[in-house]
Amino acid sequence: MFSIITSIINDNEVTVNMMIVVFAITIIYASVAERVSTHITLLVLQGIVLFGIAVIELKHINFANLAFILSETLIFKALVIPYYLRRIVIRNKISKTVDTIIPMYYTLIIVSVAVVVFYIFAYSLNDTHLQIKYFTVSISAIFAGILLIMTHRGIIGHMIGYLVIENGIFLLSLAIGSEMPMIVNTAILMDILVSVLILGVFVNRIGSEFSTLQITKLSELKD
Amino acid sequence: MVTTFFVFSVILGLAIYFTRNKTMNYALVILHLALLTTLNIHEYAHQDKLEDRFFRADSLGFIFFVVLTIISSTTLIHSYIYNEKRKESMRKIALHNVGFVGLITSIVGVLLSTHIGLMWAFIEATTLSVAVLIYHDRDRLSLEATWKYIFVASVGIALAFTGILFLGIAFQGAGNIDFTIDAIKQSAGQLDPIWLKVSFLFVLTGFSVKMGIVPLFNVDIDAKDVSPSPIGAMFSSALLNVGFVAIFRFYECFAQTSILEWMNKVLMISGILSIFFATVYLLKVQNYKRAFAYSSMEHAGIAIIALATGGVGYFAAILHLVLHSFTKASIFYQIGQIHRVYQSKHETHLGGYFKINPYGATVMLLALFSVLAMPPFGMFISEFLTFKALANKGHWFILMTMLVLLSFIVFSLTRKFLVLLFGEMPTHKKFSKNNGGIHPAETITQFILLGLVLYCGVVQPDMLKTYIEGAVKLLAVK
Amino acid sequence: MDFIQLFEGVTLLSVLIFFIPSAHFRAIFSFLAISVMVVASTQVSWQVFASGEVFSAPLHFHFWAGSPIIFVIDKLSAFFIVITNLAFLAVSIYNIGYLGKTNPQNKVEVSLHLFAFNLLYSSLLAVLSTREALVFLFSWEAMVVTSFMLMLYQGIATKIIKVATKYFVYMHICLVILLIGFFVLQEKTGAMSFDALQTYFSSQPNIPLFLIFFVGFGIKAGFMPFHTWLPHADAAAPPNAAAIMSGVMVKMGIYGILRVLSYLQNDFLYLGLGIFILSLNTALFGIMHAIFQRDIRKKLAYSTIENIGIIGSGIGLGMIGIALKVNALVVFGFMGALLHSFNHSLFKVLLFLGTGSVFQQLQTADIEKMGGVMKNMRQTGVLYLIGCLAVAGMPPFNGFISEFLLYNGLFVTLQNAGVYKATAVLGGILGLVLTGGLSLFCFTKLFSISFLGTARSNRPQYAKEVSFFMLAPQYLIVVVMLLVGLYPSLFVQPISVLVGEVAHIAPNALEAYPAQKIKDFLQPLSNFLGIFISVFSILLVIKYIQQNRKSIVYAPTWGCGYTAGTPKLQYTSASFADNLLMFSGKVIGVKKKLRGTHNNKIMAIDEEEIFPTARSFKVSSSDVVEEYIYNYPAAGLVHFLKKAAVVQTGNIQTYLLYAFLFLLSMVILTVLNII
Repeated sequence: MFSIITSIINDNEVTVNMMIVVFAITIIYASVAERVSTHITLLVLQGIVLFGIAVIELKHINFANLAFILSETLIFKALVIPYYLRRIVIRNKISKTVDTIIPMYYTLIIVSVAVVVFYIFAYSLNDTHLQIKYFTVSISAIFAGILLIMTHRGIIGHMIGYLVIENGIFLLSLAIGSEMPMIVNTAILMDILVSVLILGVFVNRIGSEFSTLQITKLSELKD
Repeated sequence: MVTTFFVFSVILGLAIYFTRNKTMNYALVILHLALLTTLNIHEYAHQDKLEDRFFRADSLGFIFFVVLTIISSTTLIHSYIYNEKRKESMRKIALHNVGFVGLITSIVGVLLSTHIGLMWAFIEATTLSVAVLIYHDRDRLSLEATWKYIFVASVGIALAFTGILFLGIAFQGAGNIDFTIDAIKQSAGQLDPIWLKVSFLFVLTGFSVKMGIVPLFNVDIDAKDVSPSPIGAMFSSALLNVGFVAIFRFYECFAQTSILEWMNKVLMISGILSIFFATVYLLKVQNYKRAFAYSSMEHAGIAIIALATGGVGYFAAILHLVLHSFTKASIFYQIGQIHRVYQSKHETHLGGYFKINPYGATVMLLALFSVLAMPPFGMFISEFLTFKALANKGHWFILMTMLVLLSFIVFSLTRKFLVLLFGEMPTHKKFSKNNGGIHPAETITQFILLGLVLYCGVVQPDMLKTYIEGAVKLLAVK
Repeated sequence: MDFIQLFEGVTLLSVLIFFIPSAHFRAIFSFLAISVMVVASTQVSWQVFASGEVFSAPLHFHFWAGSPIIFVIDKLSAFFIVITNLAFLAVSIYNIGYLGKTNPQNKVEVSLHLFAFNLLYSSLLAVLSTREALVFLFSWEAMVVTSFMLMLYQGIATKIIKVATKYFVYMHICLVILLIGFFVLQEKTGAMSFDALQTYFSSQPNIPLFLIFFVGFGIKAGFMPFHTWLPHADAAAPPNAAAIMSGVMVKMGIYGILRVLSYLQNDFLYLGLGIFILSLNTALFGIMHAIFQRDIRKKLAYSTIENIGIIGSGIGLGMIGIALKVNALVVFGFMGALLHSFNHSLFKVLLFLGTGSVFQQLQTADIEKMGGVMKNMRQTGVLYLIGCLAVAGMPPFNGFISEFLLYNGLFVTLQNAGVYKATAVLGGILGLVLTGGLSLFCFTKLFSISFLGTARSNRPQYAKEVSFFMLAPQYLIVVVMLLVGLYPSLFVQPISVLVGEVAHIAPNALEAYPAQKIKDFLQPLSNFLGIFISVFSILLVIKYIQQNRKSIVYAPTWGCGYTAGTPKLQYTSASFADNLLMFSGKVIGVKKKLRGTHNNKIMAIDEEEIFPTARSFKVSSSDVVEEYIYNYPAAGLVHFLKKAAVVQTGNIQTYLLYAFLFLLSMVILTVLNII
């Protein structure tokens, strides 16, 4: 048993594959999760997974960059943002369960089908340089994120959807990150932007202006 | 020089935020504008030279830079009047100016970058700065508009980033990934076209939120409706140009590859849909600011179609956007005055403006002709060239659809303007003839802008022509 | 200073109008600017006619298209320039008097109006002088924009909004059609200019492109069924602007048609027949509607439509002549058309200026409120009478001459015609005769109800004769009209050369016959008319001398024995025209409503009702064409389009859904190889 674990840790490729699979599972699970705290936990998990992948994939880039990226994933994605989210939920008395427009199993089916479709698409490209696993899972994550935003009614659902999109993009950037670390840095910029501006400033505002964070109340501006 | 500009801008921004003395505050903003003009002149002298590794003012960037400088100066004047007449608190003014300075700086960054990632980052920065500005009024509607704008813009920008990542993946095969525009242009021909197509698609969808075309145009309309009128002017001119530049850069990178025809088709679909929805909503809306926002969408659509057509269309697209910036800015400034008089933007509350403020009414009348692309204003020429390009390339269906839709727009906009100018004066409580204390001198900037449209349209200044042709050469389409 | 420099200078200096302090001086400045240009352009036109060479000179700036703008003035352009000049000269003098007395909202309104007026003149000259599509369309649309600005004078009445919008949209559609015409031209020949029509018509089928241009210019000219904008525009615009719009701008449509026609190479017979029939329809339709109008301006507008019909029938005849190779028909047709264009602009401007004077004094253009205006406004009345006589085609005025030429053309064809031809020609003659008779009827009604009789409301009593500046141009026009009417042979020679150019017939072929023949029989006509006028004037002088010797007693007109006669017992405009309803009711769409005033139900007066209760009576006419061809479809289309306005839902989710759908559909379209 112990030897299996050590061999797994030593074998980078297998580890990475496992982590990507875990990431994919979190995506699919997010499409059926009913409670807000489940979503937040999934985000934490995604942060840790991304940290792990970053450690392994980006071992070869210069140390300062690596340290920055690693700390960002661990701190921001896995700790700060989820903490902020929890605070917002408590502060604005958001309901603990998620309200969706279409029933959960539809989203589940759509996301699963999407993952398969993207896999097939990636395989059909026959591109030797493309790392299929990264590509597929990250695209699915982006897709799932958009779907989450479209189906959830509350602002918190939108936030979570956006963060999932971000994680997907981050994963995709890791695919080329070894050759282009600046890209990964820019992806991180997005994270910081989101957490500081949106979470910190606006969600609270909305909470105080409108009594609930139901998205339906924010529909006055239309023709 | 460029990095110095950015550093100074950041410092000035911070200073503006913490200065609570009104004169000092505005003085700092004017200082920033002076810096902007200096940079402009500097770039004029250093055309096409790479500076600070990532910045270069090529013809396209320079044209829109000049437009930015002109519009920023006039916006500052009108923002000042706006804030004065509403007696805003110092904190709001400071925040407003910070946003303003930030917006200008980020736009400069977009116009001058040669690195796609850096350009993307600056576009992200424009979203932030503009959010501060949209939220100026602090009421429910502004909150709603700001939230929607930030959210959808962020998702859009994230999609655009995905597009850039796809481009990176496409490059993986070629070995070295260098995201500067020149490098991409050179090696784009050897990349797998499927990746280029997907990349362009995501980039177009993402940046459509900045330009206000299909598919992500909705939040743009809300933002222009809710923000203070001078900022609405910036929105429709400088920011719209930023969206165009972003899309243009990617178009430019891929213009010499095999996906050119495909890109043109996608852009045409986006353009004609934008014009269609703009027409449809112009028939329906009664809120004047929204009407002008939809009109901006229509003109953005025309520019995109011109870009997609090629030939003389490239020239027409850039000319159209330059002239549109001036026209729309003057309209939005005037709407600010109208709002002050009537305390409303709704059609049923407006009327008889010709009696109340004849100078402003004249501006509106001339602006009507300009925005409908009637002679003797310049947009007639750019639209004519667009139609000519479309006919040349045999895109008869798009041409006929455009002509029909534009006729409807002539109808709806003429009616709206005439109701405003010559309709019966409203009788609701908040309105009195002397509201707002309009001084005729406020309209001077608007006349100047419209005069520029007239001048640039009828008598071609050679300088403008050279620069636009330089920008078209960037595309180097065979 | 040559013509081009003057043109550019005067156009640019028009901006100065805004900076002149007093309204009076602004009008004088406008007049001076226009007269400078009138003199210059008339001189150029004269030279073109005299020397036979085309005037060609480039402007000092050029558009984005690259090539310089060249003014090319040939005889056709020169002719219409002369028409424009006369009209503008008259109206600009009139403006000095008219604008001073109205109550503008503010200074800016008067400045805008005069500025637009000057710019309109410049754009008209440009329209007549340019051949290349971009510049032509630029000037064409500038003409629309400036006339639109003219319409807005004193426009804070709600009706202006609807009418002005309609006008603008119609003219935009006209531009679109012309654009399409030019694009089709460019596709086949590579050039976008009138001169390229030469190559086009020699190699491609002529009818489609000619029809496109005909429809485009026909909207401007006011042929049925494109006429619907004209009555509204003329009624809404101030009378001086309406004079220009009805007198000059519709001629631009005729100019366009003639210009395109001059390059045409086959299919003359069908096109000519088609235009002839359409024009007769237009003429009849126009005059029938004119009879029923209460508003003088609408009456005059419909009369313009009738006259355009007459001009069009002349053009049609000319084209048939080219097809059948009968020179006489060609000359009579085109000469009649061109001379009628000239004449019509003269008397229509005269009538509108007179209407303007009446409008200024009475503040209304509704003839039901007028009556007996002659008593207070004697000079205006006499001038108006002359105008009405001229429109109706009475000698010794100019209208008679042009219609006479057209009749002659028709009779000439009758000479050697077979059965079918003869029937067709007789039908044409009948149509023209009917139009002529109806127009006499119409203008008799107009003049008698407004100027004669007694006042039907209290407005006419406050009328006074108008100022010198408003009367002078009307006298000027009468002089020109008399000149044409009494000495038409002066004009025959130059116009026949012009006709030769348009129809591509060598001048010497026209010299012998029919130009000389026309001169031959017009001369005795003029002599006769001259004698008639001299006799008439001698009689007037004798009467005047006689009257001076006797004392004159004024008494009320014999009222047929009514003891309590009121002005309301006079003919109303509707009753005067009533018998016409017998055969034109369906076309005119006249509705009569006799209702009780208390219960608003339809109540005819019963035979046994000895003391009838109060009733209200309302007669209205509507334009059938407009209702069914334009209003309903347009409203339907707008309604349908509004239904598509569902995308702005206010919901972030839908917005992102659009992005997603866009991506998905593009992917699908790419995969399916559609794009």
